[in-house]
Amino acid sequence: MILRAKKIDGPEAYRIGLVNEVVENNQLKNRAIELGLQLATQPPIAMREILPVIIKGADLSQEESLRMERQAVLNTLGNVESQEGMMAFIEKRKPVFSDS
Amino acid sequence: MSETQPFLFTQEGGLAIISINDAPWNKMTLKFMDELETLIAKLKTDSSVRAVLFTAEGEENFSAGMNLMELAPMLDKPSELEALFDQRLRVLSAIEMLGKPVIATLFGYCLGGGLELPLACHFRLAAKEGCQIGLPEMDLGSVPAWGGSARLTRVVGRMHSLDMILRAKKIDGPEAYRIGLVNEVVENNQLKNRAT
Repeated sequence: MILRAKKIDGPEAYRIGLVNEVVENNQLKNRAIELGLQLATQPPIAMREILPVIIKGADLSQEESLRMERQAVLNTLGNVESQEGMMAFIEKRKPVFSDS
Repeated sequence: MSETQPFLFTQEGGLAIISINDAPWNKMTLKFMDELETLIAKLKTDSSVRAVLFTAEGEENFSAGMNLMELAPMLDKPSELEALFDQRLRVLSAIEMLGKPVIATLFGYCLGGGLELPLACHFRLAAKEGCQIGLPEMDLGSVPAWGGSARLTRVVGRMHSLDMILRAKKIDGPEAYRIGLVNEVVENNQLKNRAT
């Protein structure tokens, strides 16, 4: 793509792992909003903790990224979000994670 | 099938077979991890064992992960929880560094620890139908705790790892194959034979 200045279409971008999904043109914005809303309901502290583990972790040694992940676990363990998640699981309902 | 054994252990030639014995969910209990830690240390030095296979009893699920009900009473005891997580990290790392190839079969629910254990193995085979593979911890207000984010990212890359972890997304066997999470997809009734 770089050396040949090659332009690719959506299905090809999906095939090579550049995009997560290919969506019908008239559904693209709706699908993106749906995805965004789903992500926005996830627990914010857990989100803040795990994102850097995945992003930075890819460049670290496995040992270092396991250490980072362990710290993220300790930072979320037993907090309000994990208590809500656990209660919801036990009560078989959808968890509600509020802003923090 | 014994009710008390957390896993069944058999050996066929040079292959050690460990089968999670808590069908249909095959949850990994505290006892499971304790006994697995002891067994893995034995397998390392047993020269008659040349390869290891993780599978599970029943046809329904490989494993729905750790037994959350055992975890709940420990939630207000951070030091106990920390020791528990560290033991699990230690066991998975011992599997990864066993010095012998380790295979995992994925079928039905492979969630949380039910994916993190296979991620510490060297080969992963998935059933063609009915797999629900994922790290659902975010739905529990938590994050993967047994090396899931570290290892998944190394196997499938950032894009798919973000997609699966942040959305707590579950994927089937063919999708796991497409993103490079498993080596092969096998017909359900052939999965255990193929792995052996």
